[in-house]
Amino acid sequence: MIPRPHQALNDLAGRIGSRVLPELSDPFTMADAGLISLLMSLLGEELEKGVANRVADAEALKALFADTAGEPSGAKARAAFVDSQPESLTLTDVTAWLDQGLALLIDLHAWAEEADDELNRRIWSFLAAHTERHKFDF
Amino acid sequence: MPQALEDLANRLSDYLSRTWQSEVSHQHIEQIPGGASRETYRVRLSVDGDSRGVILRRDPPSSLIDTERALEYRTYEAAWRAGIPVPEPLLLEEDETVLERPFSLMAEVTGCESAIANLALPEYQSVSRQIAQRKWTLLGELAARDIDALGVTDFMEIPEHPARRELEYWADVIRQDALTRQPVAEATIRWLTRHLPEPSGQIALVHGDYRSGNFLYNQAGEIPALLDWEMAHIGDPLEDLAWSLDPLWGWPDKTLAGGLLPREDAIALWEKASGFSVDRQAFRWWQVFASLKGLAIWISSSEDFANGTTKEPILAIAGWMMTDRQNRILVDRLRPDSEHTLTEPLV
Repeated sequence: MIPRPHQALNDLAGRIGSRVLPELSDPFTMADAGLISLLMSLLGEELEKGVANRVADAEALKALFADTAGEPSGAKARAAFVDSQPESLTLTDVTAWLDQGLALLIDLHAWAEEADDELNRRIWSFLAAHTERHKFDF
Repeated sequence: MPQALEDLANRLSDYLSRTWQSEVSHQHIEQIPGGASRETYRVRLSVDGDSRGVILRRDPPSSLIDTERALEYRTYEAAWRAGIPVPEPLLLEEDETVLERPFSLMAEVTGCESAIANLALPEYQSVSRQIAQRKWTLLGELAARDIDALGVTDFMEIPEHPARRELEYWADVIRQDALTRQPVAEATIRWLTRHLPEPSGQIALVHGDYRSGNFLYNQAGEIPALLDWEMAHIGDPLEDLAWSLDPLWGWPDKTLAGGLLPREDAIALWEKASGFSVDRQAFRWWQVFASLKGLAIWISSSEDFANGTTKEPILAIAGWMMTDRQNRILVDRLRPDSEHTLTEPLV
């Protein structure tokens, strides 16, 4: 068992950079290997943080939706999402679950832009936090 | 040389011998990294005993940008005829039996670089500003060209409402290709729809991907070739200017457009060369649109990687990292209480 698979992926990405790349001579293959190494690092980060980031997004959405229970647009569906959980904690299921919440957010945002300036600002705050959570910095 | 490359070069040489009615053989072939929309190869040929460098661009099984190769090739021909600096187009072959997929051939432009990072090298320091100035001057000159005189109206549609046409096209790409919900993109599409500018009446050949990395420069401070015209179309010239200034191309430095020049300097160069004044209200729209278009391209490349037949890592990386950055740029642009850490405030 590898208890920290993200670290393993990073180590393997590093090995491509330090052991495989120097042995290559064709520029395209070198670039390809470099990109694969970078991609492995990205995947490692996602493997470690992906579920946590999505759950944090969903919790923030639930808080937002709980405060907008009285708003006319899609109230029932938002209430159902507040009470929902993902089918499992696999990345695939958590992603699908969050997607349901984001679909509701898109509708709510469209409504808020026309009708509720404060809610519009709160949704933009959510989007700022959401994009910040999912950023990759190299 | 890998066998697949050797086979490709042999087939190309045989084809060119027949097409050019000449003795053609290959001396060298290498695939150029970074071509996300076409497979790109540098080939050194012997043609009737003379050495000749060409660039082979072959359709990939799937691509970062889904484009029409014939339209791109005809745009190269029109630009070449008009004296716009582009590689000389040599031929377009759409018969898939020749090299398995359609391809085009261009003359190689030698002694040049395309990577902007290399402008920091000692050999370019004395000319880097000249190259930057040339970049936006050329774009302004392109904006001023008459589209009928260029001949592009023979094969490109003239849109009645360029902004609406572009918005509808790229919004559709996002909605077709997104693998997950895109709340930032949807908010941006609504903003762009609400603020759609009236047609300016200025119509030009729009390059469509005019940015750092898509031109060749040399140590004389020249730009001998503008590349990658696969998204060229007739439209509003502010589209190209806004795209060239998107914060993504200078990331993470928001002060230098394309990592080269202060934004306002670039705009002034463009205005001087084009003879147009930038309508700041309309330009605000085109700047937001540029970031949405970028987002659409990255979303599309993710979809290509996930569902397409090729597994080029550049598609996954562009689709992942660039989607992330472009989302942050759009939030920074449109959030009501934005502190504009990534973008300039919209005027």
